[in-house]
Amino acid sequence: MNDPFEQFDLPVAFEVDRQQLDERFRRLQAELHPDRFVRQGDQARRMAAAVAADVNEAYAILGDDYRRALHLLERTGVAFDPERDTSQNIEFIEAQIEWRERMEEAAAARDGGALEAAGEELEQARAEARAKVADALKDPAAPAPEAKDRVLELRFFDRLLDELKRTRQNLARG
Amino acid sequence: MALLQITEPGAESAPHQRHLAAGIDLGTTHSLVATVRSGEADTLPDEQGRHILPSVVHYAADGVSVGYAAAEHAADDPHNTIASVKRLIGRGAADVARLSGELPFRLKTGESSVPRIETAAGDKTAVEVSADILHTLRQRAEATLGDELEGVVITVPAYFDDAQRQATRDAAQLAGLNVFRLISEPTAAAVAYGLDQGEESTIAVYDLGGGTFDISILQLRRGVFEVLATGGDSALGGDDIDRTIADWLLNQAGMGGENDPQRLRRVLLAARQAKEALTDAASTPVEVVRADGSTWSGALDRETLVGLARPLLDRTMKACQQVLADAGLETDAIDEVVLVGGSTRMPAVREAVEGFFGRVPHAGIDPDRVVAIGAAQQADILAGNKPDTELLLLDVIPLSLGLETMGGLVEFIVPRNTTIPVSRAQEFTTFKDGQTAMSLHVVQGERDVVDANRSLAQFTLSGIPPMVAGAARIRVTFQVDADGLLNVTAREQTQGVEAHIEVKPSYGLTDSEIEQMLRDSASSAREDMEARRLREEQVEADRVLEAIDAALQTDGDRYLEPEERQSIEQARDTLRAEREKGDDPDAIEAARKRVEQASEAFVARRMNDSIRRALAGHNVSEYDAGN
Repeated sequence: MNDPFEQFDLPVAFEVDRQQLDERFRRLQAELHPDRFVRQGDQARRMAAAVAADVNEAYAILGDDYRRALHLLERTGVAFDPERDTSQNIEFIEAQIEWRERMEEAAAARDGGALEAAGEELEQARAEARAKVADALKDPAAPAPEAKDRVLELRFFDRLLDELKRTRQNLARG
Repeated sequence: MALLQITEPGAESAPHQRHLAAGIDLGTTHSLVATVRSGEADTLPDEQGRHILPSVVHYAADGVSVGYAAAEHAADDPHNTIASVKRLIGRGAADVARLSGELPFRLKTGESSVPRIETAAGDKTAVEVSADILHTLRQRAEATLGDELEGVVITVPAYFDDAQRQATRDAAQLAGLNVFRLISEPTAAAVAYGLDQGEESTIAVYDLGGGTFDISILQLRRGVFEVLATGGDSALGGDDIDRTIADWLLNQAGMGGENDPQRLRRVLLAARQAKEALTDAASTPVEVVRADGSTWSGALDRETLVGLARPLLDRTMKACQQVLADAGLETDAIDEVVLVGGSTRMPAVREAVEGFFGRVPHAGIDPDRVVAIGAAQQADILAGNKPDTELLLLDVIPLSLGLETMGGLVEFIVPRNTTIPVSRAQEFTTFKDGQTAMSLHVVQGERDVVDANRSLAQFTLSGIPPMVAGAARIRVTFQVDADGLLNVTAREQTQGVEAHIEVKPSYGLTDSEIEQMLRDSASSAREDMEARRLREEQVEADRVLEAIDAALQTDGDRYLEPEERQSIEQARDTLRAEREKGDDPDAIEAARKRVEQASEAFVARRMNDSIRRALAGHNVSEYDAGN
């Protein structure tokens, strides 16, 4: 697969212009979606499917803060094992444990109000974590040494927010 | 603007020629076919003017009938009269056994992974029964349009998994249809109302049919139709309302208790007629003939009907609530509401839906036909009849796809709601020293435990070079095409040894089974198989010739060295000659493949260029005008 930034002809940077990204995605799909090739025979359709899948994947990477940051790190040769690596920052690990406990208690108590309040604070903490990632990746060709930890921290908030959303849905379902 | 079809006017060999395409709503209780003619999409009637085709097939020893004619046998020959086959399609023996208690026909499971229904005309799979329905619709469309269909768009429920989609495609192939695309039923309904034109909106599609109720929440965002959540009740529909009314009638007439089936059917019919009359009238006269020949007559008014229907409507509203909770939305987040299904004609249904969502639902299009109409519009676009249109339906996969790992857990590789087509790969490794084979189990669903999900396929990758545990690198790639159909490939990487396996869902049919069915099927016995294959190859050859001519004309000088061009032209001329000779499908196929081979690099260059152009912000016509 080609580099997603190249594929979308966007500057290699952590911050992307969302509007530009969306617009290019639509333009690429309008050209390359296999639906455009249903009358062109199997060969063209297959090739279009492969290219469209690439475009979809690149769009998913560029559109997601964590995946984009991860990609920027990998571009500069930072080794990453998303399954095993965790942040080495002790302070953060402690904060992480606190967040988890708070969430589990509110979920166990089926306390919708507490979950909502935690959600708002969590969003804020995520915004801060995101800003730190942006800062560490200011120069995408030479990420700051702590960049990997920052990216892992951002992932923690994304995952926790995801879990919180599911918990709240389950609660709403009764 | 397609790759081999760079579309300045006249680039196609026959610009005025319309490409015949149709949309098919293959429903549980009834099916429809629609096409776009003179810019208007509408469903096609049979010779008696009936648009609806009951999804019923009767298999007698002396012949097959489909639709109304088949439905007449439901009472006298229930074992050979197959209705609601959509509930079985793409299902494995275990699922079907669970359903079989509710179905009148005899099922054979056991010797094959694909369950078969015993009939007087032999054992039939759900795919074959569906193919007979599709074949009838195809004949209707081709008789109306006067020529063969180039392709169709078929609708499937949003919740259909990979196996059910694959089985639907197999049925279409068996019926001799070229499927442009499968789209989800709620998406088709939204397209029929033009809701795809908006920028961003959240749409609720309330579909109350004869025997099933579906509620789907769609989100349209940046041209992507995403199914946020679907729910409903597969055993709730207008038929239940009919039964409730019939019970009321019997009660009024003092006919509780024993009633023979024939009389019950007549009362049910009266109930349905009364319900339909109350769509427009406030009250309607009703009559019931008692067992002793005397007649009870009275009246049913709308208020009483609403009272009778209330418990059923409440159940649908509960499902709506549930699906909103699943989507994580409140009612005020819904921008548009669409009604589908004949039962939504009832004013009481409309009022209940309007009350629940707090907005007037779209109901201007016949709710029985709206899905087929949306499918026809999409088919028209895909056939290339509207080159200026921007409409592109990007779909997402409805359920996550993954692999079984140690301890019966699932590793998700493609999460639900990923935009398709998509290709994702993940590396796995061996568990034991010297392990030379790996068993791969593909599942679909949202649960972490394998057993709670649907098993799609199982296959073994062998020939892994012996290594210590954890040293091998097995790359497993999941590819999902634009229809949501899955292909899984496993490849051993470390030592450059490659093994490559493609799987089809285990509930689907293998290619050779389909081929066998094609040979056996009643429809192909009527048509000459060879003649049909020849026609198919001719159509495909025409398609390729048309595309390559247009491509050479616009881009030949730009991308091809003289000798490359010469080899493509040579292959093309051979194909044209074979096509014109027109008697040997194998020769035509071989010649077509040679053209495809010769033009591979050309196709790739043009594809790359269209990416560059798309990014540079030129639209194609503007670019071409400048050259």
